[in-house]
Amino acid sequence: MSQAPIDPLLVERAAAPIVVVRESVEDAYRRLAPGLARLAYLLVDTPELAEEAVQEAFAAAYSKWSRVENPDAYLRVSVINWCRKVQRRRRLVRRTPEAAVDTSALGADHVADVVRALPSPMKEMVVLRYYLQLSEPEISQTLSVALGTVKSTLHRARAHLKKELS
Amino acid sequence: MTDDLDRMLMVALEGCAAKAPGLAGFTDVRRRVRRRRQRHSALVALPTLVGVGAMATWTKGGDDERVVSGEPTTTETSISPSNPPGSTQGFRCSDAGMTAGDVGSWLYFQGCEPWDGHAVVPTTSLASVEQVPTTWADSVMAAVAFLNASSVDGIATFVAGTQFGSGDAYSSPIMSATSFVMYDNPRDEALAADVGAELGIPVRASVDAAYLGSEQVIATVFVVIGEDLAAQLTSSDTSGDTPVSNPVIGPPTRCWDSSEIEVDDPGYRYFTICEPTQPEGGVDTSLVEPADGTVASTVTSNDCEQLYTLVDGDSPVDLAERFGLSLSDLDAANVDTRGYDAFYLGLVIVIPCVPGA
Repeated sequence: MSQAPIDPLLVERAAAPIVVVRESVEDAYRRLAPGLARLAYLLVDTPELAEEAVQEAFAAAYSKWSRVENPDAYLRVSVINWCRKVQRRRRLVRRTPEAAVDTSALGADHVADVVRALPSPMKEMVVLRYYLQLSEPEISQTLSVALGTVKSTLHRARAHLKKELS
Repeated sequence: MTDDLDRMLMVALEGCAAKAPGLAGFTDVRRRVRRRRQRHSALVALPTLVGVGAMATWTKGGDDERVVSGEPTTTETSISPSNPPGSTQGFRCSDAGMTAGDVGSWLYFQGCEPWDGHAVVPTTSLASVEQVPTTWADSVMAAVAFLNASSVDGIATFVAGTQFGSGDAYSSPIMSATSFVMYDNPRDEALAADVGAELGIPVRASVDAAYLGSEQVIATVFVVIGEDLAAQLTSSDTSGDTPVSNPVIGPPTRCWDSSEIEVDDPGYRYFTICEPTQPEGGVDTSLVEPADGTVASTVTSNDCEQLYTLVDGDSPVDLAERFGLSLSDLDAANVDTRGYDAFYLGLVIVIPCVPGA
């Protein structure tokens, strides 16, 4: 009777103690919040909303923290979702007046304004690509869209931005 | 030029991001967590008032449900009978322009509450069905949510719901004439179709298609229960010392048998138990499914009237013609039929007597 060969990697893994040190929410907040606030600020148009996005993301994650496997990715997606929700709510509830944009802060930053004006998810993809400098497969994974969609959307975004910024 | 553009974008976005606000400390997050919990506690109290009952159990990803005998038992509940309709415990949202009805409920939900804040509703076991927590095979944080809403003066005032997640078992509310399934991600269209088909409620366009035009990150199927809950609850709360009377809202538009229905998704099972109720008007709702599954019942207070369950392809004109009626006769007979205007698959309508017959 033949016996299957033993995978040395499995032996090594079995012998190694598994030590998982979980970062607390508070520590994660200290580490991740500033970066997430910058990300949110690029997606929404007011500092207040950006701050709210980050805090809501952490508040939502708080109760399920033990189940969050990858806090960085989870919170990034939460922030993006929250920003999308804000935009969606504005579109849906047209009776609610648009929040005033702080033009003093944004006027000088024409490029960011143009990016913010892009439709979703083009805007998110541009921000993930050019701000966080994620690769296209990473964007695909983050936004749960097909890689081909990411490529074509970014291509269209570039064409649009080129036209708008030229 | 492309490289220049890429570089410019990187520099510009980096520069803009640097202007992001400084954040408050973690105390603000804790405050938000507390607020969420308060909202959630209040939500848990609402289902009884709006008619969430133990009618269906949904689980996913496991085969570990099993049928047992016994009385209904409540495994988790916090029902307050003192929360009156019209209460403003953070659930009014008139300033967001919400309107009554299913879509209004959806808007309300989206506009006023983050849906991941609605984690738990009372999970009441059904008689003959023992709930066993199952584990999701998928890694999504949530995939199915049940909502329930009611309205006062045209404003959605209550909403309660739950979502499916890892290790959870759920009870769904009773379906109503205005229930529908709305899916949140194109890839969930098939699941939404299964849910809609099994519940006999229509599937609305995806949230993406309707509102976003893009894919969502978290897969979600919403089963939204409208304001006109159309069935009397058959299972009262049995958990607390104080008995809670479930509101009698109206006759069911459809009862589902208590058999287990398998849908295509492996491990996805659906149980219902629905006791037919006696609606006003003397209609006997002992729904008898005929072989072809179209006529729901032919037993009414009037010998020649019958109930008919809409199937794919039915239209008022076709039905009127088929039963030898005029369209106005059919419309008149269904003045009180909830959801008749929508004329959706699975709706039970009244076929009146043929004039002169």
